[in-house]
Amino acid sequence: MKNLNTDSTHQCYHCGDTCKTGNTRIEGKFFCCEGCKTVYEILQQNELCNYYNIQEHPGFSLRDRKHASHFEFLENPELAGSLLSFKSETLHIVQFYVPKIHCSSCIWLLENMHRLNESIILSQVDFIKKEVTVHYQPQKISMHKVASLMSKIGYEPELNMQQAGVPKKTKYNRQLLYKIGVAGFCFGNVMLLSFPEYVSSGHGIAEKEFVTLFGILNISLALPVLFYSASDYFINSFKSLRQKYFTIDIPIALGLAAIALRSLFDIVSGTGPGYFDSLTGLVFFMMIGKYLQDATYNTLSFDRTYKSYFPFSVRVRRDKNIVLKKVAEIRIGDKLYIHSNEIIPCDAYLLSDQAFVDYSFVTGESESLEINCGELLYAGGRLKGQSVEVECSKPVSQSYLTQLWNNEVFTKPQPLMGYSLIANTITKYFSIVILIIASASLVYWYALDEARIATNSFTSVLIIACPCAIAITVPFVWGNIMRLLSNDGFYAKHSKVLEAISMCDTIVMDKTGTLTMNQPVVHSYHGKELSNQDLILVSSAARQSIHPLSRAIYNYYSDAAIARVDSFQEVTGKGIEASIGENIVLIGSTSFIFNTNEVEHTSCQTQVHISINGTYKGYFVIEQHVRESADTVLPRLNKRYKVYILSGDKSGTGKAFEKYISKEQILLNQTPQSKLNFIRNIQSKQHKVIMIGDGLNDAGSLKQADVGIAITDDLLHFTPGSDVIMNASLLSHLDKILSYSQFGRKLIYSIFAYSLIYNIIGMLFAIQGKLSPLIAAILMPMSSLSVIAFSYLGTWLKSRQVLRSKI
Amino acid sequence: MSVIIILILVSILVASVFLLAFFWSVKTGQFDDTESPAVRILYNNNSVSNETKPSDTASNSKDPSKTQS
Amino acid sequence: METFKYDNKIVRAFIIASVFWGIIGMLVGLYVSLELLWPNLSASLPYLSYGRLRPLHTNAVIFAFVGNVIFFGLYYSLQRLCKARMYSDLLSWVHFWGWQFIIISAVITLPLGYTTTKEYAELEWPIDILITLVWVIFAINMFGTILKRRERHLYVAIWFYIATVLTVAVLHIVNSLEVPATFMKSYPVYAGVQDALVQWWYGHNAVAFFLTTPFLGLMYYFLPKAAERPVYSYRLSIIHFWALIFIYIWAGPHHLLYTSTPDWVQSLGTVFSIMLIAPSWGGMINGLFTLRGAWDKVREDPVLKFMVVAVTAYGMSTFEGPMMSLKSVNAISHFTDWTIAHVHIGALGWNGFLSFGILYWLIPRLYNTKLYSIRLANTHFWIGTLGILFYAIPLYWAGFTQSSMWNDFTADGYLKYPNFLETVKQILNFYALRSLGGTLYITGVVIGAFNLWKTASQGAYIGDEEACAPALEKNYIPHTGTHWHRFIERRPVQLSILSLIVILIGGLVEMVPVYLIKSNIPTISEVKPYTPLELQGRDLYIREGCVGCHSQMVRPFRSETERYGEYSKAGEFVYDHPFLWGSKRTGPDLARVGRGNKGAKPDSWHYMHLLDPQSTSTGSIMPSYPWLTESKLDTTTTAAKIKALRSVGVPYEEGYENIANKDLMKQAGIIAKGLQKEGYAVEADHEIIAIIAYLQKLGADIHNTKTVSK
Repeated sequence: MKNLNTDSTHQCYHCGDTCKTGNTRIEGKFFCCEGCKTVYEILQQNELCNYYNIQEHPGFSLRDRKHASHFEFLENPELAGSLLSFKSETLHIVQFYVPKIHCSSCIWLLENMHRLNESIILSQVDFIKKEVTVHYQPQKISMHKVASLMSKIGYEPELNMQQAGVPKKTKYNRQLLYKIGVAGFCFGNVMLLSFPEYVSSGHGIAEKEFVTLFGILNISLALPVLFYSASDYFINSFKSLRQKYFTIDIPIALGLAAIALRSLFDIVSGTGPGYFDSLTGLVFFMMIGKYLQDATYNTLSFDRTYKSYFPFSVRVRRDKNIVLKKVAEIRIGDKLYIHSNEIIPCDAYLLSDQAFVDYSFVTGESESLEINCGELLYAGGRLKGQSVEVECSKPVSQSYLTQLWNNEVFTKPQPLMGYSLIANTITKYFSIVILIIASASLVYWYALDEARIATNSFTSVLIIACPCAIAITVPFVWGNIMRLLSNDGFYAKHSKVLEAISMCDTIVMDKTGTLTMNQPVVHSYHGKELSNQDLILVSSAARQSIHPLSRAIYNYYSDAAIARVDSFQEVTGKGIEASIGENIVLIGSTSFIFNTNEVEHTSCQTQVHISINGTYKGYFVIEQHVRESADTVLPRLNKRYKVYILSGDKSGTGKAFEKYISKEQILLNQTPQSKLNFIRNIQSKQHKVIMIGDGLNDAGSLKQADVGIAITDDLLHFTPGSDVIMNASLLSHLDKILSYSQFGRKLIYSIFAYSLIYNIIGMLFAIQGKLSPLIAAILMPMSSLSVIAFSYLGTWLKSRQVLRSKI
Repeated sequence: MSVIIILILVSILVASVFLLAFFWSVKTGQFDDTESPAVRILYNNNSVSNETKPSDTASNSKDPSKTQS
Repeated sequence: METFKYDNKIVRAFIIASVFWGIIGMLVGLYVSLELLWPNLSASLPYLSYGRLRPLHTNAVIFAFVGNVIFFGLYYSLQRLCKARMYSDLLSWVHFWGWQFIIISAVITLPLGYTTTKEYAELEWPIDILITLVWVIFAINMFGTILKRRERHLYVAIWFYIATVLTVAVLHIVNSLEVPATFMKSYPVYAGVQDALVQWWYGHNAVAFFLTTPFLGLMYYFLPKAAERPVYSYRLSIIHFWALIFIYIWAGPHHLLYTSTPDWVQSLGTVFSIMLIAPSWGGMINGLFTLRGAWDKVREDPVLKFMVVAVTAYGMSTFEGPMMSLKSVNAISHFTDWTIAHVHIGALGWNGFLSFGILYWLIPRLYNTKLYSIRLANTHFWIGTLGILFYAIPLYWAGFTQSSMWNDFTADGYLKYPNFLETVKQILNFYALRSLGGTLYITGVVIGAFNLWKTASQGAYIGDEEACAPALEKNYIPHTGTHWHRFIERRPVQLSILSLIVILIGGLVEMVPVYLIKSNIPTISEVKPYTPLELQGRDLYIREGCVGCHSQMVRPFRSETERYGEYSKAGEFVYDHPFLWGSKRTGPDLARVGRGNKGAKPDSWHYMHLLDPQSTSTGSIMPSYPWLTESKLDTTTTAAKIKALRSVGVPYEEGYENIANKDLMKQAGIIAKGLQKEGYAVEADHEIIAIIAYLQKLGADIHNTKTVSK
């Protein structure tokens, strides 16, 4: 008989969670659950406890690991083979995606797997991609064993339909690194060769042959920068010109070309040292900007389709014997075995007599459904309770769920993605003005028969006009905001997403899973105090049923010891009856307990009553738990945005939100398609929409919306394709994040205004045709550097007051 | 000052050698993962006789990998 | 899994060498600092005179102490970072003994007066060749190890090592191109201004790539190890490396501000020096932030204490350096003890403390034991820190004081301290304090050595540490799609080949000016090549290391033209192989002491002054050179020297070498007669005559031009 009220001050030695019970401890080390303890024991046997010295409580809690994946299918050579990146008699190499990698300890332990099993030759971690490359001897150990070993020590590889077949391609953007390298190298040397001409307090280089030599070297160093590092600007501007669309690349290309030609002319004609140091410098800084902008999170994948949600393989019956098949290869009529907690991979008819399926993730309906023999099961549902056999009615690709992905939102290309609207609009007008000024000065000087000065000033104006400041500001600001937000659990797919957010005026939220928890939970217990004995009885009884309400009760007392249940019976829609020893436990509705048949009142709250051995004890209040963050944030959002709530539920918890927003902003009975249409409808009214959802059922609308934010309690778990993946805990700060992104936009404007000053100063010299290389060499880097500084300071300071204080 | 030409040429030459080195290292993914290498060096993973850690007193009790082979 | 052994023997060997030479080098330093207080401490023993021992001190601490530290640190960390034993034990040991032999030969030749006077490159040509060979062997050994490594990733430290090996090779070769006249005597192919440029291009980068980059590599390996946490930002460390590599190479000319080098070259040096602050501080920040959250550890662990001070010192001197390369600041600091203080912040703080931090961490691990005494280590730390302070602060003070006295004018526009000696007397007390600081520091080092020795003797040392790691598969195809192994196998080879090519090209390119020596320095017609006697005298001046205390470069400031005379022109030095501008004025500048100049002294004065400086200038701290009157001038070398100089462009007519000694005797005779007339018993064939001849030549030509032009 364990007592439940042990002080919860102990931290789990493995995962750092507080241990509710004292029942799992070794040599004074406490563990929150058996899982954590087992891991510790394994490590201890293999002298790998250094794991715990590198970082405090490095592990992950295994208490509520919902369903330990099974890797039997890896025994199937064909399936396993599709994962190998290298294959020989004596050596197999496989890359596992292990989302749980998060600290030094992880790296250390995973790279020491050869100590756990000497048939593993080498294991190496790619921390950025959260990948483990395992080299093992196939003749001694199977991939199945490797995978299970990893999940045994708490690092479960993620294997799903997506990985089947194609091995993941690297996401690292190396082209850019090369370009930066070239630009940096040339920049350095061009400075070396250009400075002498004007940094010296005297009058340049006395020895003329140096001037020519340096000129030649400068040209040859600048060319690679122009034609390699900066090539994108020319290519893109050419493209966009053909599309008749203005982008910032055009003035940049123009400016760079102007600098290059002018400098070339100056050097060849021996009239000056040229502006190549400015040129190379600018390109270098802009490359750096690009690099920051392109920095994405390899750990999170934003473009997931149903494929990464479905299992890797499934058990299929082939006359008498069971074989493993890739999900994609399931044909109509195949007989599939689905175990408890597995995903139903395709629409199918139930062959077994009864099944409970939880569709919350797919449809947004919170209640799990009871399906009877012959009824249709939809792909994507999670099976509860005992295993069942089903018959495939539609192949995966055509199943109800996957229809979503045939919707054109997933197929239609987004033409202008990758361009910053702000930058483009600003520069459009900017460049027009510049061109006017340039040609004006051109005309003016010609009028005065000053052809030399005319061309001179014309080119100089173009040089100054190169809107590099903007080109640098935009990525730096957004890139930095993106990074700062990610510290708090808000991961944008791309820095431009934030710009899009700053433009939106409407927010559409999915209810189930977003504003409410997926599973119902016990809110409170009312009635007679339950003794430990009673607790054990109740939880043991509840444990027998897979009905969500029973699970809620069981989870509520998950720490309680479990007694053997002698007999158990469940009356569908009413309750359960269990006999444990000489005790009889009844759990269920009032009608079930008291054999009355009054009507249950439907609300977001449900009452579940208990009686033990005929004596009524009391009732649990169980509810669709509304995230407390929702209460706080909804009113605030409602002030500045038009907020809608969409729910797949027929009725129920929708009411819970009417105290924040008006009834007509809450829409129930929404199918994935209708959600999508709803958003499209708003957009047609010239609104920009942020969609916030969690489930596959939201995938369509997330895609359709201008910005789709997928919300999740555990970043490692599956999220539908989206622009942003956000930690659920951030929900209550959503308004701050949104305003932060708007701040970003303001910042960009003000920085640009500031950088105009430089342009104006330069312009003054330029129109007189007096823009000396020295002035250019001072102005250009100055503006670039100060712009970078402001971008960083601005975003950083703001983040301190917006985020750090709250989160 | 003919010597300056030589000095500059040599300097650029050296720099270009390193540029090549840079290309090589990017190409071979030396800079792909910029996290784990920093961690990896901390522990002589594969050293048979695990190095003793006289300086750290905290971990001695827990760390069984102290036994010398 | 392959099992292999780390070579700890070679590591230990280099450790012992480094500690041994460290103490020697520092003691020599202490000794010469005392000679400034007691000029005749050396008891007129030529081998112990200040001028000859100072280069020994710099060479010993840089190449013997720091050098061996680099090698033991590199041999230890490289093996572990590559998960492989050094490429070849033979090469390792050839490298070790070769290097020690080079040091010993330095210890012998420098006191004997065999020197090129080029700072940090004083060793004569046979040793230069030896250095090149040993270095190449070292390079092969290192790249070989990288080649057969079992860890795919090259940790950032390795990059710093590679940079060191390649660049030092190039620098050494480019700077040491010299034409041998005799065994142990050579003349650099460049003259005057050009020689100065090359020398400081080398000199600065020697600091960069011998005292900085390898130690940064060591920092990036040993600091995280000691702190048991990964470096603050690995990405930053990578950026740090590449940024440093791409701009370090051209900061050299900041050592030549206000000299006769072209104005734009000087400014170039300044600009690049300023830019260097960024990467250097990137490195310092990265080092210090690595200890964030571990400051409690720092408080109790001497290893980390040493390292923290070292990194801080690095930050300080890498900030001070660029500041000193600002022309306005340099005008004050140059030629004074400020420079000495600056370099010792770097040397004692950055190099010294990091070395001992590493040793305190490493020795217990090599010997599988704990540190003999933490208490002693802390004592070492505190005495050492105190030593640094006592060393640096007085010298900064001295620098400011002397500089301001040099530039001080009276109300009616005369120099306030026309007699250089007054400014020297002012700072003698600071010199005394400096010696105290040095003594403290060395005491600390000795304590440290003792502590380490006890640690070693209480532990059990494993010569070949067993380890195992899987080999890199030959036909491994990673998900990146590129064929890893090919590059892995090919590139390091290419790197080493490239390094050799670079070395060769560097060498070849350098031979060019020997043929197209035509240099566009405005030559001054009156500036004539040295007569044989003057030439011999100049070589004596070089032998005695006079350049260590006397500059020959009058900067274009009123305070200097007032004190010394006309400022120096590039054209005056076209026949100077090597240049003798010097970088420190412990004594006055000598560019204008020659006959005809304002304030020029008669031969008799020089004679007396060299025999007994205090007799002519009371309170002088210059040692006496009695042996110049005792030993005869070796005229057998004259012909060879003339030939050698002609080959590098000094216009001696063909065949002049055959009659050179006749001229020499003639000129010597005249000077000797003059002296004898004044009653000094001196023979014409004594060395002192030659050196007087040389001193009288300094600036004489310029004087002639002035008289002519009048």
